[in-house]
Amino acid sequence: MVQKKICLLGAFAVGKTSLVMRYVNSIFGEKYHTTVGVKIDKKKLVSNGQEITLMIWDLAGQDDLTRLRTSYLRGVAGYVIVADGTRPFSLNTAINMHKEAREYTGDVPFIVAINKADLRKEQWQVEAEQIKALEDSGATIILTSAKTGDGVEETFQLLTHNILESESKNKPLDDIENS
Amino acid sequence: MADDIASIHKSTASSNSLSETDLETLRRLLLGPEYQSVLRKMKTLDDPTLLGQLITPAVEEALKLKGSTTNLQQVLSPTVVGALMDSVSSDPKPIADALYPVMGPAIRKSISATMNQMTSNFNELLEQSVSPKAWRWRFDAWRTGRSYSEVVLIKNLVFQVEQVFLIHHETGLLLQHVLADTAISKDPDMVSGMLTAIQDFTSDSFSVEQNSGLNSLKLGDLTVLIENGPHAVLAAVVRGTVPRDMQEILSETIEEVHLQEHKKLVDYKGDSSAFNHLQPLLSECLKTQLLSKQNQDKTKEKKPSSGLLKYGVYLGLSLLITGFIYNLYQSNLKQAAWEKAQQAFDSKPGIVVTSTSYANGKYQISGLADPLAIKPSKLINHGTLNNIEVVLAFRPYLSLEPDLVLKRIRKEYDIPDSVKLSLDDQVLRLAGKSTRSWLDDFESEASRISGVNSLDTSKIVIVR
Repeated sequence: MVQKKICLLGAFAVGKTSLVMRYVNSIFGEKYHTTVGVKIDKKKLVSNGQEITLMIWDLAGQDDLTRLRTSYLRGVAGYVIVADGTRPFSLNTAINMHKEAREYTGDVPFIVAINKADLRKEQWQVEAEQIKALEDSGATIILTSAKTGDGVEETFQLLTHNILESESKNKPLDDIENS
Repeated sequence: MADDIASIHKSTASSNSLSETDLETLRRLLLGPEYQSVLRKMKTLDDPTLLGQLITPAVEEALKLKGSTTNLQQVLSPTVVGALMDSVSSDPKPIADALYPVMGPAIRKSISATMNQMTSNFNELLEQSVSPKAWRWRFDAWRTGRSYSEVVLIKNLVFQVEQVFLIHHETGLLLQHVLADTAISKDPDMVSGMLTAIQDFTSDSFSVEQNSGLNSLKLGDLTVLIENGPHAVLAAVVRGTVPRDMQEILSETIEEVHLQEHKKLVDYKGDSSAFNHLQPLLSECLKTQLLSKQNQDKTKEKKPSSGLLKYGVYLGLSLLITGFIYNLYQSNLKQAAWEKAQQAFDSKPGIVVTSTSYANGKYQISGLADPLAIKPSKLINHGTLNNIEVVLAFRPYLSLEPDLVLKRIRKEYDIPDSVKLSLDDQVLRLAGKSTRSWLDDFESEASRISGVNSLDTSKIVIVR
């Protein structure tokens, strides 16, 4: 059983916690967000034929980029940045957070989840062009909805897959370095 | 009715719109006889005082019914609590006064329960107080300067290490987890993550030294001891009083882990099975000490050499004590002999002891001795000496004690056997027979004898 640490980042009230609530085991309540700034959840899945346990560090939402809890990012294998489709500013926040996070995590796999996809028809404000632009720059975008569950499993599966892939790519290099 | 109609006519005559009286009349017509009571009711609704009077009986009824359908208690509860809190924060005194009669008995009850527990503990302790273990504890208490009861309490502490976590420092992932038989554990993976998060939170929120981490978390009788290593963290959950050496044991264990697995820790990618072989090492930390008649003590096996050392120490100690006692006995004997020796010089005519001393293992008696007195060396017979050596330092002097004066007289003067001498209060008495000539000679000499003031010859019989 292999375990991986991943983080969920995003602005305030984008729906990060709702996103994971239905798909994870949790023994810690919401209050941990406001007290410690992070809530730990666990998710088991199968990827690349392996059983993987994801330890999900759900970081308290921040609008203020400078206070991103960088210590919580330590040792992370990958992360998901969540934005709110009905609030385009949250996408900018997400992008900035991603840049900051990168400095601490290095080149680890990440997914951008644009949440509240169930509101696409009515309140969706994020333009398709924005999404395209992000994809072009190399990010993987998934539209998710905590309410309906769309895209959530997919997000975690894809992230895990990417993590395992990147590790197997790095492995031969490590071996060479160590021999 | 006729009056009403008449007044209507009157008012319509004066103005086009309905006047107050017209409206009044209209109302009466519409509402009929109930008009008055309805009017009264409406007035009541507007007036809070009247409304209060109306509602009060209804409220009382409602409260009486509290058990039946409504959850009045639940509904009122937040309000009551809020009210209490407001009251306490503005002025605690009324609530304190109200609670005072309640708190007394509650506190007393709690104290008596605690005392009973303590008494039963102490009873057990007292029972143990005459055992050899108890004597050892007394020795420990004396040695470390603590009170005996403190030492006993520490030795009898109850604790159990319920679980031990080995956590990867970088990621907060759980490497290994050991659980004591009787303990319950909630999802250890998540607990490890959270523990790491809390450590990070603490060092982020408060200014701490670099590389310092939490050492312990305490809540009630539960303590989480944490040992931070560079790549892995060891956390032990202890229920009860934490033994002093616990932190050290954790320290040593985490160092051992780093020693054995440094590379694996640095390269860790999430596969905890790589550390399964550390289970025995971690299980060693699951110590338990229980309070029971037999005082089960399941601590780590002590190294065999330390047992031998203990034995050797005890042997040496008992030898020392024996030697000490023997020494004491010997010195007692010596002291007795010394005193006896000194006593030998008491009241001996012609001998004056001026000082006695004991220095560098030698006893010394100094004094003055008349040449005609008993020789000081003869006074100390070896039987009384009992292997002490006494040095005698006596200087000569002339004693005027009667015995010695008489001795001197007999030595210096030719006293015939028929003359008996006695000296008393500086009066020399002669008794017996002597010739006239000897007596005359003696009388003339007598004035020069030191220690003699006058001569008494009344008892002498002159013979030829």
